[in-house]
Amino acid sequence: MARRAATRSSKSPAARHVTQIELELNGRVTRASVPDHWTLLEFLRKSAGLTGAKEGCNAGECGACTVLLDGVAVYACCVLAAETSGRRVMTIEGLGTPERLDPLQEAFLVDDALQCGFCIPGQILAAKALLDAEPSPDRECVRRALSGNLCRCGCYVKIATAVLRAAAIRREPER
Amino acid sequence: MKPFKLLTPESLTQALAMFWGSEGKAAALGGGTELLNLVRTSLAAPGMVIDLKKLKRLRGVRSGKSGVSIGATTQLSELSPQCRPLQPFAALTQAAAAVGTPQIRNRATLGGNLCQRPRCLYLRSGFDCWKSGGKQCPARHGETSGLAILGTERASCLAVHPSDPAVALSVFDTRVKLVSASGSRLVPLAQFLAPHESDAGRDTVLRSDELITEVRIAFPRPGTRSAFVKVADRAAFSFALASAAAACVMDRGTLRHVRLALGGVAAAPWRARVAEEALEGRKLTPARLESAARVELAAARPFERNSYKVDLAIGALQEALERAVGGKL
Repeated sequence: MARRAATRSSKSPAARHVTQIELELNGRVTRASVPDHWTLLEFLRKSAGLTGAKEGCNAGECGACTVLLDGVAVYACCVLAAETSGRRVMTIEGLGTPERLDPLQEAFLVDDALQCGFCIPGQILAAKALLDAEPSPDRECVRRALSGNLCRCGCYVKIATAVLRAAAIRREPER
Repeated sequence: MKPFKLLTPESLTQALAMFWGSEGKAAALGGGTELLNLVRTSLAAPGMVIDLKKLKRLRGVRSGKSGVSIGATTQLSELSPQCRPLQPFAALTQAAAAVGTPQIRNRATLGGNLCQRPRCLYLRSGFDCWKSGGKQCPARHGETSGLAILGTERASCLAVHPSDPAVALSVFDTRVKLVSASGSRLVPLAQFLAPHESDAGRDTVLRSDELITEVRIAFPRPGTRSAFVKVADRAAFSFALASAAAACVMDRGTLRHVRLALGGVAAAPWRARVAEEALEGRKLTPARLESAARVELAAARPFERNSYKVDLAIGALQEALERAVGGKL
C-alpha cells in the first residue's frame, strides 16, 4: 500500500485516485503517476509518448495494442497501468532501431507483410513472444500464435511468411 | 472509463476485509479482460477495484488426495496439457485453449471466466433487460440468433452462458470455493451458476462480500477419458455457438460413467442427462451415439433464428464423445 498515494488536490474526479508506478519500459526505468483507472494503453499513449501500441477496439477484440508484459503478449487495453509497477513492458519502440532493425521488422519489410500498417506493431510483438518461446515454429504454429491479432487489410499469409523468415534470420549463427 | 480506486491487498484476510467493508461497491480484478470492458461500457461501475493477483494462495494448480484445486486467479494459459495435475482432465485443458485468443488466455483467470456476464448483444449494447436490472428481454422478439434453445420455457433472460471451461468442468465433479470474512462454502458448479429465479440480474450465487478462491475438481474414475469440442464462427476471439464436453470410461467397447455437457445452448452449461442415460452401459456405435444426441436435443425450443444450434449441438455432442474415446467411430 505504501506506493499508493491518493491526492486530494485534484480538480477532476479522474485524478482523485492515483498510483505511483515504477516499471522497466523498453529497457528504461520509468516512473510515473497514473490514475488508477487508466489502462496500460492509455499510459503508453497519453503519458509515455509511445504511440506504437494502437487503440483499435479498446475492448480486447483486435490485438492492435499488443505489448509484452514480462515477455508475455497481452492487450494493453485490458491491463491497468497501475498493475505494471515493478514489471517489464516492451512496446514496438523498444524493438530494434532504424539503423539496426529487429529480425522481425526486417522480415516484415522484405516480405511486404503489411498494407496500412495499423495492426503491425501488435503483430510483431505477438510474433516476438512466439519466437522467444519457440525459435523454430511451423506455419500452423505461427497462425495460432498470431490468432489474437486482426489485420483488416488481410495480410495474414504474408505476415506468417515474414514471421517464418524472421525465425530463420534469428537462427543464423552470426546473430 | 469511469474512475475507481485500485486496491492491491497482500493477503486474503486483507482482501476479504476490503470486500466486507465495500457495501457491494467493490469489484474483484483478475485478468481484467472482462471487468475493464464492463466498466468501459458502464455495465459495471465499481467505486473500488480490488486486484487479487498478489494473493499467492489464489494462484496455481495443486494436486491433492481426491482431486485438484485450481486457484481462482490461475490464468487460462496455465491450464495446459503440460500441467501435470491436469492430465486426468483433458476436456478442461482443451476448453481453456479454446477461449478467446493467446493474449486473452495469458491474462484471463479461471475464476473470472466463470463470472463472465452473458455476451448477449442487447445487454452489451446497453439495452434495458433482465441482466441490466430491468424486467424485459428485448432479444425475445428481436435478434434471436445467439439465444438459448434449452431450458428457455420459464427463463426470463434467454442469453447463453459464455464460458468454455465451465462446460468442460460440468463433466467432472466440480465445486467452487467461495470465501468471505464471515466464512466459506463449497458450491457445486451447477449451483454456482444458477442464481435464484427472483435474481434474474445475476449470473452466479456469488455474494458481493465473497471471493472465489479456488475451483476443486475431483479425480474422475481411473481410465476416464474426456474431450471438449467448440463450434464458433472463428477459431479465435469468438464465443461458442455450441460446444460440448464428454467424459467416460470405455470398458471393452461398453460405455461407463458417461458424462456429457453442452455449451452455447442454455443459461448455464447443460448436462445432457437424457443422452447420458441412453449411452450408459451400452456398446458405443455411431447410430446409438447419434440417436442419443438427437433425443437430448428433442427438448430444444429454438426461436426464429437459432434453430441452427440444434444441429450444431447434436454434432458437437457426437464429436466430443468420439474424441474422448479416441477418434471417429
